[in-house]
Amino acid sequence: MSYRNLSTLDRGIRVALGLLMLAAGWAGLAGGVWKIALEVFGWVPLITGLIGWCPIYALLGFSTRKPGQEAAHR
Amino acid sequence: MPDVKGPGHLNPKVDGAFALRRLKWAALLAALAFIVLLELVRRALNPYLPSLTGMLLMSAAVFTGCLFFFGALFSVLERMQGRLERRNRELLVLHEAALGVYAELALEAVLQNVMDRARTLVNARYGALSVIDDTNRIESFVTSGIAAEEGARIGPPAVGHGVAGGVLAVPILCKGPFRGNLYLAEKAGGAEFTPEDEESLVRFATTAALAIDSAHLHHRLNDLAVAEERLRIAHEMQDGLAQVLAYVNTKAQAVKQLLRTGREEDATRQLDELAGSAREVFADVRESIIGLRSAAHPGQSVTEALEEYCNTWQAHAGIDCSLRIDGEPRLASNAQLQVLRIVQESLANVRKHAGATQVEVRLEQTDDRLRMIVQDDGAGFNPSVLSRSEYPRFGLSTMRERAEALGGTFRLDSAPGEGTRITVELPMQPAASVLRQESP
Repeated sequence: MSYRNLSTLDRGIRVALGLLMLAAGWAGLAGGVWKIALEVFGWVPLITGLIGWCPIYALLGFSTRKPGQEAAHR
Repeated sequence: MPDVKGPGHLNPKVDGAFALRRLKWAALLAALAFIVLLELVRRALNPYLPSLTGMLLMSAAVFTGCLFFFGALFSVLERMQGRLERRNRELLVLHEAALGVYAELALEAVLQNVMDRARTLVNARYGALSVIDDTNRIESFVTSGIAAEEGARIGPPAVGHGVAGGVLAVPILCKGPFRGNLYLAEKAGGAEFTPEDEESLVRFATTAALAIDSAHLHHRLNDLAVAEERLRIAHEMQDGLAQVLAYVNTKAQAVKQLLRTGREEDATRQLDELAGSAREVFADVRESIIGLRSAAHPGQSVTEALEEYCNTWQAHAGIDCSLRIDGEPRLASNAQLQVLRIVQESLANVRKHAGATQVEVRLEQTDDRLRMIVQDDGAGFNPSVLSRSEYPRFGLSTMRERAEALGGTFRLDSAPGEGTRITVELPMQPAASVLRQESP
């Protein structure tokens, strides 16, 4: 898809990080407010990794994709 | 119009209004989802909210939501802007290509022009255009971005069609006999061709088809002009030469008869008349040859051709001829030829009928019209009493036809003792197309 701005490696890392954060939250590795923080913010890298698009990258005009895979209109 | 269909051709998905409507709905739904998620986070954080950490976490959640929302919004806007910029560029190229049609009329030049512009349009490094004849063989091949020696090394193109990886190909279909394919390879920057590239190229091919059709028509027009010229020469020979030769034959018979009956004086008179006719036809033939010669240079401007003709005519006819032209008239090549012919016919009339000592040829220009005046100081005549038999001999009707065929007007002013003045007004080509011709 042309809107993506994450490379495959970037996406892999994000998905892994997101799953780790969520798993840590659910497993109760941290307690109290941090458990909720992990459970809430774990979704952020997971979702961005899955859809291949990062809002911060988009706002900063940054991309980790190769030029050939850049957005079509560029 | 050629029936060209391509991806995204009249596709509502690329319609700006549709994209904007979709964006509005997406923004509404995203805002609703954001509120729901925020409420869920608030409920989860509820026990910790009075603490600083809880407040920070809540703020971070709001911030993240905003980032997603605005990030998505701006990236969509950016994409729409990119699409608009691309359309703009495409329209500019199409516009330039349309202007190029006026600048170039030779088919090979138009093909090269089309190829170069197509390559710029999709940012391709190499481009080729093949023209296929009725038997599906490649008739001519135009390349762009390929050096001559490189082209020689690659050799002739493969016959047939097909699309290989990294090559974009679209057909060019014209109403005329032309059928061709545009091939583009290696997008600059190592990227691959996108469906948008193909879309642009398909649209461009439609314009290119019109340009190529126009070049074909121009080519045919030139052929027709040549055919018309041949017909004119045939008519002239029929009207002039053949009639005089018939007259000479009759006179010769008469002289023979007179000599047989011993009326030598009458025979001498007839022979004098015969010599006069021969001289007249000789002058006509010479004038025709000069006329043909002055139209024979393809690269010559109408001013140069007129100067050359007037100089030669002056020496040949023994009548003082002055030429006054302000600026080079912007005329199509067929119009240039017609202007030259009208001047030639007018001058021929001056030599044959006017008995003038001076003649002036004047070319004046207004913004969009050319006025051509041929004025002599000869005997003049009353145009209203020109008999039917005399009329065609003066070539006036031919001159009028020539002027009217170019969308112009023809006027004759003359009175006995006051000379004759012929005024022809013709429309000129718009200045813009000539400017482009001068600065490619």
